[in-house]
Order: sequence, then structure tokens, then C-alpha cells
Amino acid sequence: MDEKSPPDEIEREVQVLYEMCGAGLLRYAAAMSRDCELARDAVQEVLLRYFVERRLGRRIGNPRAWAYRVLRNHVLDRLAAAAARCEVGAEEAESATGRNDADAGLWRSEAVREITATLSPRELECLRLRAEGLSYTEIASVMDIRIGTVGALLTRSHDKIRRTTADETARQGVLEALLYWSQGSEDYSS
Amino acid sequence: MLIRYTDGELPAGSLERIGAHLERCSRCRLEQHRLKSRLAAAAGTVGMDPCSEPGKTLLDRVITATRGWDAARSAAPASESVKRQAAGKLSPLLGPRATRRILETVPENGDGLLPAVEPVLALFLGRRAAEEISGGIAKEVIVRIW
Repeated sequence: MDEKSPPDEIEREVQVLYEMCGAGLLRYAAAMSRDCELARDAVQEVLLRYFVERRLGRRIGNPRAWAYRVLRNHVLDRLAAAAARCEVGAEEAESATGRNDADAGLWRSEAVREITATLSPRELECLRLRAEGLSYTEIASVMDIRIGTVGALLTRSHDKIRRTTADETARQGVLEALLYWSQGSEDYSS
Repeated sequence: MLIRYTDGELPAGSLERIGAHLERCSRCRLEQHRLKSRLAAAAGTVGMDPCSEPGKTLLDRVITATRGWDAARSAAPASESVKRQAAGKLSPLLGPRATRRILETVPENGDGLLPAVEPVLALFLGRRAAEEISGGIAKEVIVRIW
């Protein structure tokens, strides 16, 4: 098939999936990996996987939940591989993935760190997926946990955030985040 | 409970009961308002996008990749066909005879491969593990064929 030929049915599905959640997948991968290049590669890989698995006959009932689940596993594999290659701890592995200076501005924010540091990795991940608009059922499928556990993780996250935001610095961080979202800025660090 | 209500994740009966209570109770309404603000702020904080939007370039790359994969699949010699690759992965798990039998109806290009393989694997390993293995086969096929 040449590159200018019209898209077939599965190619159209890929386009729809991309339009539906491409930006969300990229945000999620970037939040997990803190590496834009890795995130873009991961999203591309997931969409190609979707295409290939559909070509090989897989029926995918909920493409969004499927895409987030495959993306999550892919990014975790890549991070584990990077950590193993470098034989360093998690902190150093993050820098080994090569995030750029512009990104670093975001992650340097004390307030953001303070809020996220209070949450366990699972709580943080659950909150991220919820922030991307996934339902409890979809989050359960992505994280391979029960729906009740999703509710419990979100409730615990909320309790912790409420306690953290009693602190002035963290509260300021939340306000910054709110301001960022209400302005729809593309670059938080600017 | 209020979080699940705010997320719309309660059964219809509970949603109605809590909704009715909120209409009457200003204290709970205030708590819900605070909750929404905190959740929105927290979601913004943990979900912030450090990358620019994916844009059309990423989609173009994906479409080019899908077409490249299709072309490579059509051009692959029989010895490297999708079916042969899948057989290579399945044989150690199921044995050569069972593998041949399962893949009997699958063409060399692999159309219909996953629905043929997955139910058999699921009988021995469970649905999730079967999905993982067949997903692994698909992943391998991407790498080796393209």
C-alpha cells in the first residue's frame, strides 16, 4: 500500500484512537517517564501495536483502556531496562533517560514534588489516570486491580492531599497548578 | 463516598440519595465544593504535561509505520512469515504438533492468528497470561518483520 492511498478500516481506527486519547497517552507516558522523547516513542509503539494486533485478528472492546494498559507496561519495561543498564538507583535512572532542561523546570517545582511525594506510586498513578478521564473500571483494567481498590486508592490520595495542602508551601503549589490549568499554558516552567 | 459521588461512580440509587442530601445540606455542599477544588488541583499537579501536544507529526509517523509494516508483511519470505514466527514462539510452550494443529487455519500473513492462539493458551494459563503471551508474539512480529 503506498503512503497516499486512503486509510483502510483498521488505519481509521488508529486515527480515531489517536484523536480520542493521543494527547492523554502522551501526558501519561511523560508523567511516568519524565522523558518526552521516550513518551512519544512509547505512544507511537502502542498505536502501532494496536494496528498490528487488530491486523492479526484481536478484538479490542475498549481501545482506550487497552492503549493505556499497553502503554503502562511498555513504559515500565523501558524504565526497568534503563535502570538495569545503568545499574543505578531509581533517581539516577531518571536522569539517565535524558530529560531536557525545559522539562526539568517542571519537576524542580518544590510544591509539585511535595504533593506527589506524599502519595504512593499506586495512588499517584491512579490519580493520573483519573485526571485523564478514565473511569474506575478502565483504571482497574489498566492497573490490573479491582474497582474497589481504585476507589480506595483515590480516597487515600485525597486524604493525603488534604493533609498536605494544610501546609502553606504545598497550598501555593496547588494554586499554581490551578492557575496553570485555568490558563491552559503549554509550558508550566515559563 | 463523596469522592465516588463526585466522580459519578456510585450506583444510581446511592447517587440519587446523596444528591438529595446535598440539596438540603449546605455543610456537605461546601465540603463537596472543597473536594472538587482539591481534586482538580491535585489532578492538575500530577498530570501536568511537560511535552508539547503530540500534533499531526506523531500521527503521520504512526500511519507511515503501519503502512511500512503492512508492506513488510506482504514482502516477507515464507521462512519469515508471521505464521512461522508465531509457531517459533508457541512450539516451546505447546509442542510442535499442537502448534501445527492450532495454526492450521491461519494463513502465512497471520490474519486471525490471535483469536486462534489465545483461547488455547487461556485454557492452560488463564486469560490475562494468554493475552500477555499473544501480545508478546505481536510485539516480536513488529520487531522482526519490520
